[in-house]
Amino acid sequence: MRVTNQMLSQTFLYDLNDNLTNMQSVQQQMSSGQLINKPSDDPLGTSRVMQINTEISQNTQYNSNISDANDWLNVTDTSLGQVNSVLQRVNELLVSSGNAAYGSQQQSAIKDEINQNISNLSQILNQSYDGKYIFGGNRGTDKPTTTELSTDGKKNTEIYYTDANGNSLKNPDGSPMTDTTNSEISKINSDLTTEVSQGVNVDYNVKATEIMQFTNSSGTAKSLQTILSNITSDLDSGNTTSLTGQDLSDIQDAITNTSKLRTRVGALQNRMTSAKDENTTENTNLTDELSKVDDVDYAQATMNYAQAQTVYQASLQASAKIIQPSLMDYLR
Amino acid sequence: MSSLASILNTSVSGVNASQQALQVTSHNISNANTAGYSRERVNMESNPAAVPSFDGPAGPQCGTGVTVTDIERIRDTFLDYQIRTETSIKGTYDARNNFLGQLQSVMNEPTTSGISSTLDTFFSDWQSLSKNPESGSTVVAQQTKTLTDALNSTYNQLQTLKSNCQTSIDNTVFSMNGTLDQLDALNQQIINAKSAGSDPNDLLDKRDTMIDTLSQDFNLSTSSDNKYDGVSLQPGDTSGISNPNLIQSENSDEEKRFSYISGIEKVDGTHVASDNTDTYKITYYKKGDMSSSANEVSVYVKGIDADEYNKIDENRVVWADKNGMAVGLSVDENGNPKTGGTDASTAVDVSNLKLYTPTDGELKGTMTVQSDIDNYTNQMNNLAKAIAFSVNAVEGSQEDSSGNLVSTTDSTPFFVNSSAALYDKSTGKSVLSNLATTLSAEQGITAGNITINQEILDDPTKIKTKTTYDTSGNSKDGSTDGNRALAVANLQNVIMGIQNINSTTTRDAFVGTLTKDSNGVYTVAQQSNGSTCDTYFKNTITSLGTQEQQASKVLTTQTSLLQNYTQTRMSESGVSLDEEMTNLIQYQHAYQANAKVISTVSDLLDVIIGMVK
Repeated sequence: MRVTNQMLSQTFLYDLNDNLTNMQSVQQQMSSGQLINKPSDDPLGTSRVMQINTEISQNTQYNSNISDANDWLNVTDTSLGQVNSVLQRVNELLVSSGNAAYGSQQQSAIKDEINQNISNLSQILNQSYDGKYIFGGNRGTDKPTTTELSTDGKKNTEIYYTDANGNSLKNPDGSPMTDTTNSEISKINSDLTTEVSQGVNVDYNVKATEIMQFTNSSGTAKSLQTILSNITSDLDSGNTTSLTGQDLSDIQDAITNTSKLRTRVGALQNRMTSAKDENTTENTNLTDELSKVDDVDYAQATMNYAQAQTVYQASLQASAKIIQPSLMDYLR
Repeated sequence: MSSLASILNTSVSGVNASQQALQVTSHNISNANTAGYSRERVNMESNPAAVPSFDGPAGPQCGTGVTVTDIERIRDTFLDYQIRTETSIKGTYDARNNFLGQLQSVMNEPTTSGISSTLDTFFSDWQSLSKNPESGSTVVAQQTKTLTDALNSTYNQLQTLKSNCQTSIDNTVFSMNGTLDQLDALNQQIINAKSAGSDPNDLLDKRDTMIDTLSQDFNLSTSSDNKYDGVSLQPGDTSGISNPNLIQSENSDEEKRFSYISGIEKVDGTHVASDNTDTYKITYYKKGDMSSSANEVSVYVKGIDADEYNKIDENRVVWADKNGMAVGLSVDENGNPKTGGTDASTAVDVSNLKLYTPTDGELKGTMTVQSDIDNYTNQMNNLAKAIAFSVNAVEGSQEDSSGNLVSTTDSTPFFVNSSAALYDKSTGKSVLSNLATTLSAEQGITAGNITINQEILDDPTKIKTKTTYDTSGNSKDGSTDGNRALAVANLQNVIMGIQNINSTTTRDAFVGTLTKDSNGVYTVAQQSNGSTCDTYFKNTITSLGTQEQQASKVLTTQTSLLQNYTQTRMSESGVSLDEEMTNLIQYQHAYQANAKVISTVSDLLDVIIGMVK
């Protein structure tokens, strides 16, 4: 086949362009650190990268959900501990009130302390965290409970649920309303749910209604407001039989209920911890996979670059030697 | 018997032949780097001896020198044909690679600033809102605006790209017509020169180079139609035109050209329900020359349905006569003017429209890219509509007092169609003033006009986060109830039939019957056949990446193939300087030798004359 000088030049230019294209693509990978700079580099890889990015984003959100729920549960646990302390104190006071040696002065002092503890209890039930009342259900911007002095002249402290404006909810006879079908109380009685991983929802709150309205071991429904109200009125009337009998057993039922709630919170905290671990593992796995699909292996890329450079230099050298000489150099 | 005079004549013929050969060699050398030049070669023939006659001298005969019979142009026309075919194919993928590459840049994936990432953040923010309904709504409103802005901007860029394609088609048509006119003139020149007896080699080279450049724009075929080396040229796809020659040697007034359609507007009130067609006003520019409005011609065409419209929109090139008047619309195939089409009542039927549909070349590549852009625009529109419908359905559901779903529309739709929504700003914050119109315009939401309701942007507390709302928009749920926001966030994982959306799909048809989720919020149920929003978008990007990868690979292959053919042609027709140098020395010696013979004969003549004293 006849070969002309122009053919040699043209071949050189075409192959030079090829070499430079290779070098450019390796250079782009190395400077961006990513194998995939546009979808056409690797369409299936692009699809995988987008998928993993979405999963990482969702996973990060779940992580935040788990952390927030965990913090909430910690505050709940502390508060329940405080409720327990208050009820234990009331328990002690009831036991000591049965002491026949105590006169009306001491009984009065005991009653004052118990009223203080009832106020204290309402305050604990109004514990807030992160701008929301933790025992308020989905009505978290308003306090769930408030206290009022009784209207029967004895000035005993009574705990009421509140409506959205902070007013006490009372039954027609003036006693605290405890009916969970009431629209405001049902809001306090609602669950707060969070998603800890896809499709897995966890109810993480304890409601004020769960602390105050409960069923005891024999299946009787009890209300803490009624129990406390009975205690103060028994103290007023000096009914020591009741104080050391029914009232004492009621208070102990309330303490048992609180312990049960604490156990539940403890179990949820454990669950959150393990969910967090799973989430972290999942995040690591996803980031790993993303790295495998999209990150440049610098050792490989550097080798590729060195190779491309060698080819480029070799082609320049060889072509320079070939396309320069011609017959005219040798004709005198 | 030969005389001194005949020896003289023989050597003079030798000198002349060498001189001509040297001239051709010098022409080759000076054109060594000229693109498209084919080397020339002298063909010499020896002159025979005089024809013997009865009364002529007898004895051994001797030839009488050399003549140059012709200057041959070394060119293989079969190679030309192969190169033109491959150039056309390369042109197709060149155009596709170019525009699809731009389309990829518009989509901007996979990056942290693309739509995929924005959509992920959008759903995350709804999750955060569900945990903090009293404080998270501003973030959601702002992120929604970011999302809709991204969708709008992508849509607009796609439209710009499409109009760039159309400009490119117009420019190509205009330059094609110009080149064809030049070729026509060249063709006639060659015929004139050849018929006068000369060898117009350089004109032939020029014509071949022009045809090569033309083959990049569209695939063509040439054939010789004249004994004086004239050619006729026609495109590969003749679309049923009876005389499709773009260049011909005789009757060049009957040659065809191309015109460019710049506008296709629907005429209102001309809808025919039986076959779902309308009348359109088609505006074209003669020979693609948009520099003067004198070249603009409008024709009314009836019987165009949606498919036909797309075909015309993506194609935009019509056959025309030599003056640019569209064949079938303004003139018939023989060039006689047609009546009709001047207004809607005299509209011409669409079957008369003769679109030029090339099979290869840059024109074809750009046309197919237009149809790809339309396809991706549709997919973006479907995505926008799916997001708008599903979020609006969850946000808008209302219940009656027994907890049954009453209606799925309410007074503050979350996503609205920006071309329809009007606001009343008299109170300082926007309030939607045309609710009914806005709700019915939801059907027409596209990626270009989707936006967040300005009412919500001005007052984010209007975002509904609670489990139930009644028909007056009030809720009996607590202030920190975020279950509805959680339902919106969970839409990220709901499989919906996004691929079935078209321009007439309504919200109810798309979301189907709403069902209560585990928290009691009415939300979109999982559908059996479809994909989630981010999977749908991911598939769009994957198919774009695959198309562009294919275009790029085929382009590389074609370039390499074309390189081979070009090398073969250069091997055949290219000038080799070494070869010319050798020829130069050869002819130089021949010239010197012949000149020496002349001087020898001159000496001999002196001897003879000197003999007579």
